[in-house]
Amino acid sequence: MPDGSRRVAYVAHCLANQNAKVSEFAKCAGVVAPLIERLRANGYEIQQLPCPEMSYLGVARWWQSREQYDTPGYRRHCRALARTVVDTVAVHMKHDYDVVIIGLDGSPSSGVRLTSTKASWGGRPEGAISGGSDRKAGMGVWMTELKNEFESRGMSFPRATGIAMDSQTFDMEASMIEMDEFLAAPKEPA
Amino acid sequence: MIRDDARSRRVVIVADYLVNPGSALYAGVAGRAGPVLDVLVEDGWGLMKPPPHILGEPVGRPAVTTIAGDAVDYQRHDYAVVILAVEGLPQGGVWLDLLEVAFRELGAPMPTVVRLRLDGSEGADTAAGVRAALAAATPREAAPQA
Repeated sequence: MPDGSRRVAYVAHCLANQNAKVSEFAKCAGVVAPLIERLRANGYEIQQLPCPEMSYLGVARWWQSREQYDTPGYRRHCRALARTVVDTVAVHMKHDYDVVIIGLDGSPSSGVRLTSTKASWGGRPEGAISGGSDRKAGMGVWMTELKNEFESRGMSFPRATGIAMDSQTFDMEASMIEMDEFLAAPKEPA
Repeated sequence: MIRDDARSRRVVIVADYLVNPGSALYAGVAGRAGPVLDVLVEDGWGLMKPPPHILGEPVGRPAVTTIAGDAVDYQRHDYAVVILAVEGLPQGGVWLDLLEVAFRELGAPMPTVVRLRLDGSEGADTAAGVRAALAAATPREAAPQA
């Protein structure tokens, strides 16, 4: 651990389990190894967020855009998951951990800085090409509800970033250089 | 249509202690976790990791219920699912009691439980030992290729 402080990263579920990805989006067998290596090297403990898409629609789900996931029922599902996550984060904060969140940029659910968009999708699946929906700046539905849960308890949303594995232009090497800078940053003052 | 990608179709429900053995939350736990996380990463296992077992049932129950639901869906689609617990930790460090309840309520069989010992016996402190324990619990067609 570089500076002796306690650190924990809450990572999007699929960063530790590519089996949860929607079909064709898994880019490695199981764990995204370059990320886990960096977390360990920088002294971060690893906590895994649940995947709301997986628990809502299963592993054989269709590709969906953010617009399709943005329903009251799915948001309610995300809020229920968020309560348990924030309960756990609160314990880490109580033990003086620096908490960060690493999402999955480009995802309709787990994007932090980048999410998906395709307002025209719906009905009979057809015409989807490799890469799926388009991308736009902003959070996915799951990250939005997780942030809302923090704020509803008067807690700040932790420092967060995303790995753009769901972007059509994803570059692992460039993404990990950016991750190194994020992980090395000092803890934000309370 | 479901098309192939890089996924392994192998998932392990793993105790937090085996992923974060150096955590300050485990200051009172004796023993060594061995190279478990290294093996899981190198061999392409996907992780489903519940919160630390010391956090108590109000946190554990909803998390484990979600994980069990995911696991049942994986099994339905012929993914291999194994539970990796720690011998000597309460409920294997992975909420085994709550997992049993969750799988029973879902009408699904509990995946095979592999219990690793922290005292170094039975080879659990070596990569070969961890691999052997996992292989014994994994269907041959789903096992990592040497």
